[in-house]
Amino acid sequence: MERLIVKAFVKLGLGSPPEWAVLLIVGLIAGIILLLFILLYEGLGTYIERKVAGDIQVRYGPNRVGPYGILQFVADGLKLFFKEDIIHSQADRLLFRVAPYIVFTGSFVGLAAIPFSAEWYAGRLNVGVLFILATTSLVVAGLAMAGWAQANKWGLLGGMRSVAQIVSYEVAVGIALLVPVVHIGSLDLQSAVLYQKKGWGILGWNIFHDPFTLIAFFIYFTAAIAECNRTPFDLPEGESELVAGYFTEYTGFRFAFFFMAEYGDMFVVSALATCLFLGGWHIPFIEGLIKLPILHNILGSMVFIAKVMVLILIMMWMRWTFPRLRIDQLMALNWKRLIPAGLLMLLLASLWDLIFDGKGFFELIGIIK
Amino acid sequence: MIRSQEMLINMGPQHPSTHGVLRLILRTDGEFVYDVEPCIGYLHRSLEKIAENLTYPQFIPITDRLDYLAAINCNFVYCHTVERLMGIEVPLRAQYIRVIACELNRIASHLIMFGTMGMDMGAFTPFLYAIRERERINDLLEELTGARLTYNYIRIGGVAHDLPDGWKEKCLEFINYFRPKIKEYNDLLSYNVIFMKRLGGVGVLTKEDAINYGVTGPNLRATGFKWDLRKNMPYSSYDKFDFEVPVGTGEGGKLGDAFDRYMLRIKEMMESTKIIEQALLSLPEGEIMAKVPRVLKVKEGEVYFGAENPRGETGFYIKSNGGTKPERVKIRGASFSNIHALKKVLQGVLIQDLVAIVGSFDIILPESDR
Amino acid sequence: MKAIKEIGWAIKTLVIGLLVTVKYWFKPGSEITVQYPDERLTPAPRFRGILFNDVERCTGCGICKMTCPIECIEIENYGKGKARRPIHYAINIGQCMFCGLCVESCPEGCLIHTDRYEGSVYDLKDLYYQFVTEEQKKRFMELADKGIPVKEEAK
Repeated sequence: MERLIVKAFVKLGLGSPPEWAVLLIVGLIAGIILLLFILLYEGLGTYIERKVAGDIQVRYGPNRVGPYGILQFVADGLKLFFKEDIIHSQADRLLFRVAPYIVFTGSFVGLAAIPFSAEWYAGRLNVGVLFILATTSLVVAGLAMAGWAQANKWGLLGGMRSVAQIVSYEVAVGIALLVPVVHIGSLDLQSAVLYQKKGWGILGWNIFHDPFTLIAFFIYFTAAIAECNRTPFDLPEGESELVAGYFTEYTGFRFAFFFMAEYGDMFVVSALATCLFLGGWHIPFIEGLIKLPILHNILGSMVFIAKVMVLILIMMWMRWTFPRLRIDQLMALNWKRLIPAGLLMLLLASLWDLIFDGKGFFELIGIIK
Repeated sequence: MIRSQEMLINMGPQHPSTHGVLRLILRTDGEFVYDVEPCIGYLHRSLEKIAENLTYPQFIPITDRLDYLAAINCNFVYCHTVERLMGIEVPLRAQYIRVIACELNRIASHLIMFGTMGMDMGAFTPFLYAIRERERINDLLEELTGARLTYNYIRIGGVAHDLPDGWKEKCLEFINYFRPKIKEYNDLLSYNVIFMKRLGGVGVLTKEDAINYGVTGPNLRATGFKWDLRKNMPYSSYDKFDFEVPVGTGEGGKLGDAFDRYMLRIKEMMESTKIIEQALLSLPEGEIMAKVPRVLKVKEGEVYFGAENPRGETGFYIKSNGGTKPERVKIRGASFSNIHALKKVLQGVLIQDLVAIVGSFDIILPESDR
Repeated sequence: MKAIKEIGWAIKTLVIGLLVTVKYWFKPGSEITVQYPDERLTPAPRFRGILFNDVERCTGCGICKMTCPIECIEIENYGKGKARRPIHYAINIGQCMFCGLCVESCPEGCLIHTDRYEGSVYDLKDLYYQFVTEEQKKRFMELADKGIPVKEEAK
């Protein structure tokens, strides 16, 4: 990539570019690709969500715009784009305007550290897990801002709920993520995937490493749903209680930003789960047969996205099945169940590593080596 | 507990979960609600005054607008009150058809309660499942009465139409289709851990409070008090059918909590299917209208009659001065009394509990505002 | 121990709930939804749709007007006795609540409910349904002047 850019500079007669310019251009290109990808995914994500909802609720879902209604999200986006952007007089104008962008950025930046395949990633960070945890916490600031700035009591309640919820659940998320990190011994997501690349099947994945990691996966997944404000943890936007929660007063494209942020968040947390528990881009069964790097990259990223989509579909399935928790139950679930269980799993998994020298269950019984 | 500054929140009349145009003024501290003041009257249409200016049969379609989810029941209460005043004996077949229509409508009404309850709790899917079954009831009632919401079916002295051909079989088929669905509802929502924990033990209404506030219907029975007008003061041949009156059991946590109120409706739907089945299978032949003069002149007098509607005792008090129009009509809406018990129950609860409790009372505003 | 039992119960009920929804997830289409403008349901025979008066048979007795609880029917008659005919018969469908009392009480059976249920118009005035056209009005006035009763003319 860098070499190509240097060549292009030379061809254009600009001479050899400085290092920072090359890095900037590489970053820009990667950013644009990721942004396009996430926008497309978010559009399709809303479509899939509505279709899943339709199927579960014995209705059709969108089926008018385009074949099978697949262009529905384009129509929705256009509609939101042309809607009047209302900022009412009591609102804190600056915060009101900034909040959606912060929320969206928080959900989007995490993608930078995620390896889509062996060679396709925006940046290989040696603190990838930490980076993603940090950026997803940025969402909280945006939600609190939005809740405060719109000077609406329902919005304020929604903002406060989201802060309380996301901040507490981040603890559970962090602890649950430590379990695979203990096995891997690195916070880098790419090496996490490489660590799970043992054996030809799916048994090398961390989720099958030992029973404690399996439980940690479920703890992580539960807490992650809460972090994305999805049902059954959608208290901040609980429409039957808080009208629309933190985006009550938002209209038009600003509202769309919150929506996209929700889907972006879902992608990031699912991608993190995939990297750390489900083998990332590791292609099960036919991994060794693919020799061509480009083919491997394409297949790998497809497998990766498929794994992420499965997790997202499970989130949607849960959303259209469960009722919502109460705020005290939500806190009790986190502090009294998930975090103690997570800590216990961390302890047991560390002991496992100590006793069995980092070998997984299937390695020990000799199915994979 | 530490109390900080109070916040006054206005919930409704336009709010996703206030079931119509109920307005609740909440005094909250964060998530805690300290005081609630229900404000009613946004749907006042002065139906009682309208009744004084209409002849007796003309008022029947207006009663559809009382409790629009159970319009036939309201028709029935009004017509039966006038019948009692006039001393008309309704033919047995008409009585049975009335029972069938009323119980079908009761199921439809409880289905809406079940669905909106789920929706208030954040589960959207049960609502659509409930609507799916209600659609079939609507189809049945459309065939029977000619309308899908404001049926205007029951007449003074009988019913407007006889059962159409093949309707009996369709109705029995529906009963058989519907019964397994109740289990599905229980699997999906009732016994879901989140749902049970949300409703169990919140909004406890004691038997004494319920009686003092004049709460009737499922809300009263959920407190463990067995009081069903269909059993206790049988009317319209309800005494000929074998059904049980479910009462609150406290399986959610405490007796008379929101879960009891919810669960009672699910059980009542089952009992209603029993009544419909019995009535359909033992439907007598005969007239569907008693001999009623074309122009109704009601002899002087007054009468009160209350019947067990899906939401409780709906009653009409009619005073006649011998003319073709009533002198005074007083409507006792069940929801009116039920709303006022809310203030007692909704103290020191969370906002989310508030939504659940208001949902579990299953109030309907046109009936209370009239 | 109690906590573990509770977690087991929780997981069990959640899974039961998920199994209910997944059963419908993979059933394509819908059992009950009708794709409205493309497919339409036929209303039941008793369906009380928009009113229609066959004014050729109407005697202008005014019973429908008397029974209507909300007075949305207007009748203006011409002629006397058996030759009486309506020269203006209008129903304000915007007010009408489709209770069907007028149809039940109509002695001639000329006022009926159609199975039409789509009544949306661009102008509120269009909801004011006039059933006697100008030519009919002229003809009815002539017939009434000649003293021909409604029933005989219809033969």
